[in-house]
Amino acid sequence: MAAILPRRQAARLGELFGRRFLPGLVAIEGAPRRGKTDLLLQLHGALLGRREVATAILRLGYQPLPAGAAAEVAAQLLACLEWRRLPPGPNDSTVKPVLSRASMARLAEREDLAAWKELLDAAASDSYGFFAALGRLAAEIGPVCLLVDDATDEVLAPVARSSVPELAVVATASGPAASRWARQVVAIEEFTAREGTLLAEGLARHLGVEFCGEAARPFSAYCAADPFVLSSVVHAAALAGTPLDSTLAFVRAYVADLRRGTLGAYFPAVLGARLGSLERRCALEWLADERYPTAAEKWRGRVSLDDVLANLAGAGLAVAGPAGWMPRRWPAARDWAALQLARPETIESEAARLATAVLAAAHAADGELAREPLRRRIAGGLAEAVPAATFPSRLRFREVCEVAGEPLPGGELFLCYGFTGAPPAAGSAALLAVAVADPEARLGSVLEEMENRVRQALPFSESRTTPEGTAGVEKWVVMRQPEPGDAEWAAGHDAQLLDFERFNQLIAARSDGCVAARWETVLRLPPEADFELAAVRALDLLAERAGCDAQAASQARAALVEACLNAFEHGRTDGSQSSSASVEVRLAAWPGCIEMAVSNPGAPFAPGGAGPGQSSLHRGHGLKIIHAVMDQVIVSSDLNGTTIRMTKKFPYGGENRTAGLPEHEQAASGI
Amino acid sequence: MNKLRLESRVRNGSAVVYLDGYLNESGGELLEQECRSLLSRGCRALELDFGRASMVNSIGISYLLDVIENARQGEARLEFVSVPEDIRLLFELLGIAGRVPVRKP
Repeated sequence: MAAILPRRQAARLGELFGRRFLPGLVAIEGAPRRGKTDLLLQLHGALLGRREVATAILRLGYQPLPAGAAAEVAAQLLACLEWRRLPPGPNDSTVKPVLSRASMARLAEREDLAAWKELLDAAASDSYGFFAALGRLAAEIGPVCLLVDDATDEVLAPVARSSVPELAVVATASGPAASRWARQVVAIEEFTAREGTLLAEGLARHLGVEFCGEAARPFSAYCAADPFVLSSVVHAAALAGTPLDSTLAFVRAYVADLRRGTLGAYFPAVLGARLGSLERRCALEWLADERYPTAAEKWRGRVSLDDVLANLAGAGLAVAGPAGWMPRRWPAARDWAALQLARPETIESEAARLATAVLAAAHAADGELAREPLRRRIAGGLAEAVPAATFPSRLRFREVCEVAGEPLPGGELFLCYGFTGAPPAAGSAALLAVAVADPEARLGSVLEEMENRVRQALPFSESRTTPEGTAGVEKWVVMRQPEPGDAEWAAGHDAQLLDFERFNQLIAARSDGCVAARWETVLRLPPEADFELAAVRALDLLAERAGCDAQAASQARAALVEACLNAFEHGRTDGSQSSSASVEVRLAAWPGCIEMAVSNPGAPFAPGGAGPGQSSLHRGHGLKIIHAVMDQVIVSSDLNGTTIRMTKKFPYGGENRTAGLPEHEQAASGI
Repeated sequence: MNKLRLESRVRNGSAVVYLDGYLNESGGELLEQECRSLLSRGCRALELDFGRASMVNSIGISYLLDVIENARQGEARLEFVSVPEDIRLLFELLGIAGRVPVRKP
């Protein structure tokens, strides 16, 4: 007899897995389109966010395999398990295995992997045989959890009858089958992110792995977890031909969860620091703002084309266009985010390239991406999973890429892709590109926009999609050949349209002229130890761009660390050691000057005093350091919190150029 | 700016502690414990080598003050060596340079 949990008790889902052992089946039951799959995918996404849990997907580019032939066979075996479609049924059931690291290690060590793979392949058409084989494997290597979507009797029955304690299954089902076979049934009517997190937490316990909540996670762990978590998921879903709806739902749920912070507040912070959000702003501000040519007479700094390209790459911008679109003068772009989609008849190749470019861009800031092996893997996988026959030639992949720059300060720059006739893989990759490029404020609206575009683009349509969801954008750089109607569109949206030629002219003018640039970024950091390093990382990038000398950069770094530490302490509004609202760090720099503002919510604090939970012995030096190394320090407090604004000037080009800033630039630089 | 790692070498009652990484609160605790241990084992000369220290924050410095105090109580000679310029500046600001010999790289 199955125990049925109503929706009101769904928040207790984690308790299901809190027991040391939960063999058999847990079913998530509900009417169609009520969120069962979302819950399952959320569970999967949450699990993928845990370093303690390994899956085959992650190893696409994230989990290094042990050396040796056995590892390769293990990879094949796990690939064999992934998203397997199990017949029969009105809907194909899909299966996703999740292994603990220990299980994964034991699997990789086995010498008879080839035999196992053969066995599972042979049983693929027979659910009983397949689960029986999996059960035997689980009995030997340790806990294996299977996530099964749209399970039917054919799937549920053998699992329910399995006596292998190491095999756990979480399945969704919309019919009465679930309650017939499952030991536990979760009847849900709507999906919440919290449920998914609780499930993940409980499942991690069930698998015998340590669950680390985001608050307990050290910064180094977050650095190790990188965008591949998301990108691999999206890519793998595309590889397996997962329906577009599911992929979109997964990305949406995953990103929404990131935004809510339930998977950890680290994505905005780490991505912001690692993927160069400040450089994104730099590039787009530079491209969109036409003040610079007039300011050139006074400013003698230079921004080279390489700077722009580096900024684009650092921003995680994946740029695509039709054949011949990419100017020959941008050869280096091939190595970064930009790519030439020159063969519209080879959709799978384009999708693979786009996905590769996105991933490459995501890692451009680190420069450690093993791009070539990854590219081969993705290209090969897509070519196999997305046969050309699936997409008739009339569905040629026609990519329109637009870069939009909002007026700064405070404006967000984001990238919109319009896909026409694109396969799900390309759509997923584009969503990912947006997610990477804009992990913070505008993500939700951009995702909606992207989803609408992808939906509208299937099936193929010649009509040009317009960025209706991006009101307020004043300037657009249309990175494709001009089309009739562009000007009318721009006039109708009160936007200025810069065609590609004009774009090139701007680049040429700014490369030749005397141009100074201003860079800025905003980070929101959880008030946890070592997250000040994310701010330092961003500052280093910014200071380097602004031409800051080593000594001034070092002093600004020291001040920033102290300001962050102060904010972390005082931002805990209840005085406890638990994290609460995030600390906002605003950084801006231009030749000759760095400005930093660190804001924390909570009650005002006395400058120089120790924070809650800190003895005066160990605190109180921070502001002393800040005042000593910065040229200007302003501490302002109100009931909403405290902000420390700091300015550091440095010589640039043989003189202190900050004195020469135009007034309106000085005003605009206020942070 | 990784987590602080320490390596100690003891010879004839003198110890050299090499700091590698970010001297923050956790690193400071580690360092203070290590120095206390060395002193309790009879070391009467301590040398802290900052050659591979990437950064120091004020909390880490407060633990250095503890180390200085422990060394003074144990009547041990203490010296900071290979101190990078930016860290030396912080030492000067917070009065450490006046209490302990600080040598540049």
